[in-house]
Amino acid sequence: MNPAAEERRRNIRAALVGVGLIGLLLALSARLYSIQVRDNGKYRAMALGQHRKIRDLPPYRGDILSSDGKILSRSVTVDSIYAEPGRLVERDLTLGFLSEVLDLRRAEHRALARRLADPRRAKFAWVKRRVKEREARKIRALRIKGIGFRKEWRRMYPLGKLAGHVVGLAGVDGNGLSGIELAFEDELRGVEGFREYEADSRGRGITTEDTLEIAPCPGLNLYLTIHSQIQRATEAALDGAFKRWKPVGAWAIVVEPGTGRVLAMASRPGFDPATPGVAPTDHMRNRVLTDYYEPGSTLKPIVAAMALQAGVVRPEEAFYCENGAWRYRGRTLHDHHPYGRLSFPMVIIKSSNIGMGKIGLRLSPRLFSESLARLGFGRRTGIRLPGEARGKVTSLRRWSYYTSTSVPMGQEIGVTALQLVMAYAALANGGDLFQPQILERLVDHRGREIYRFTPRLRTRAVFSRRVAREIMTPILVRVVEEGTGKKARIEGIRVAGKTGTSQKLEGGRYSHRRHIASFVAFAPAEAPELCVLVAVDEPKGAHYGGTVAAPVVREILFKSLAFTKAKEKGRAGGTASATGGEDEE
Amino acid sequence: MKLSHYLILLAAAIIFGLAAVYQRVEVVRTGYGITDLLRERARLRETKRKLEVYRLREENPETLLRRAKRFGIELPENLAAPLARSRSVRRDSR
Repeated sequence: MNPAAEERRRNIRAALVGVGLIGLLLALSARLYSIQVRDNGKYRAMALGQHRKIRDLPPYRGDILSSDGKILSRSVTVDSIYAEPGRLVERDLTLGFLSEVLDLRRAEHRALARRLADPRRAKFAWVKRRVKEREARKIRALRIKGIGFRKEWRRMYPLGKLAGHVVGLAGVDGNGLSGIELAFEDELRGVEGFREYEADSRGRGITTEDTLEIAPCPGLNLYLTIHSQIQRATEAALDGAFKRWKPVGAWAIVVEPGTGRVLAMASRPGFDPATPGVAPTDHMRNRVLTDYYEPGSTLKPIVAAMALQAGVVRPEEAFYCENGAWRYRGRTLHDHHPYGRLSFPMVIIKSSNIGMGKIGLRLSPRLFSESLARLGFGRRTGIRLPGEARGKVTSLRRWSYYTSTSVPMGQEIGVTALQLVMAYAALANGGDLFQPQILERLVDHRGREIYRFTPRLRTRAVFSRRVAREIMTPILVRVVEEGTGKKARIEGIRVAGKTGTSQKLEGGRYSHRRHIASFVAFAPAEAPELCVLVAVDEPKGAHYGGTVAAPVVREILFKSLAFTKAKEKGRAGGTASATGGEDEE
Repeated sequence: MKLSHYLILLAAAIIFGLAAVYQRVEVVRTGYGITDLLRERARLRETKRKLEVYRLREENPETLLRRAKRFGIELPENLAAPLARSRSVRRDSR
């Protein structure tokens, strides 16, 4: 072959290869341009999606604690087990194993089998949520393919049922459903954070300089005014009464008269907040707040003090009690015992309905109604707990002579236990009506106090100091020492109180079978530290407040005073004693 | 430039490259370590919270009484005294 032709052909071939290579390079450059420049955003997002992960960081829900620092409610994380049914190798075997370890009942086992076989749930199906630690440990140890774990919150109640009605319930998602949990949801919830980080091909997080973390802000810890020991004493006493008298319900409240701080609040029947589904809804009612009832004779000292305060009666006056039956404007009032003339104190000590009716008539309807309103009856106290009832007070428009004689003996008026105990607290502290306080302070997760709640006066001087301390308190002490409240006596401690036995309405008439037995007291009478109300709804076997409720109050006072300042002053050395007390009120 | 110069430049580039890769590997390894430590810290915090709950539950008088009863232990005199005293006084006075 001609060398020149050979040379030319080679050059042509080289040129073709060169052109081909250049073309290839151009094509590559174009593709590179397309990936790096034109579609940069799209691929960048895809890459970021694979490597950068964002994880929400849920905040700790705040704790609820008693005033003495005991945790009443706290959130902890627990394991929940899920399955990816599509990845399960030996479904039946796994099912059997899970069922055994998790101690599933037959119905639960069948439900789980259905969930695992459901093609719509091929990627995710709950096996069991919030399992016990040892169950999770056992299952985790086996590393079953297709079985995974997720952390979920669970509200724990280390002191069990204690103050369950006050603390309330939090739902599956950690949101408050009742009680303090609901009332202070915003304070407890906290603020969610997030973490944006780089992850490897297996999804494991790598902390780098690009990692961005906004830490969650835990909820505030709430310190209640509830004292765990006083609450325990109150609940134990109430449980004792519940066992002894088999009532349909019972409730008790303990407050500090000088501040309005609620130290204990209990309601029966109760429930265990750890297993709320077990108890009927009715058991979750905090009767101290939600139920209003006719207070019966426990209202007499309040009305008597109102009359004294208005200046319509004098403490040295006497009232003719008509020997047990008094017909007034077509209605006959009765006393349990026939009395002739009774002095003002004896009307209360003997709990005379007729005497109180006559005192009530001295108050004009307007004055009577206004005085009740000043004491907070017919209005919510503003305790900031959900479900509080207003109670029921006859409006001035409907007020009648009947009302003026009924209300003084605790009929034709509906009060909540909280309203009544606060009115007694006003008598105990010298006349100031406080707003009941349930929250003491808010503390952040580092222990710094964010806010401290201070006692709040609702109405200053609803009673004068003379009326409350010099006239009414000695009368109430005599009720306990020589009247219907003898079973509340505590040796060495002067208790002031009043019994109440109210008939419940049955078909529009007062029942002779269904009663509410109650007792309200404060002690020590000379410098009251505690004010206690106990009410027992439809007790069986007895129905007088002096028989049913007074011993409960005595037990609460006796145990609780040991935890107040009385202990320091050496007053707690007294012994409880109870004598007599079968008098009717 | 001589071939040796090119080789030196190449070696330097390789060394720099390896150093960069080593540094990156170290960053990733430390990143894993930090992540693990953070996770461990969270776990320990959680354990502490759970233990506090556990301690309170165990300290709860009801739990102690239940447990004592299970073992057949009687309520100590100093705990039972106030209640017993109040009951005996009531009985005597009748």
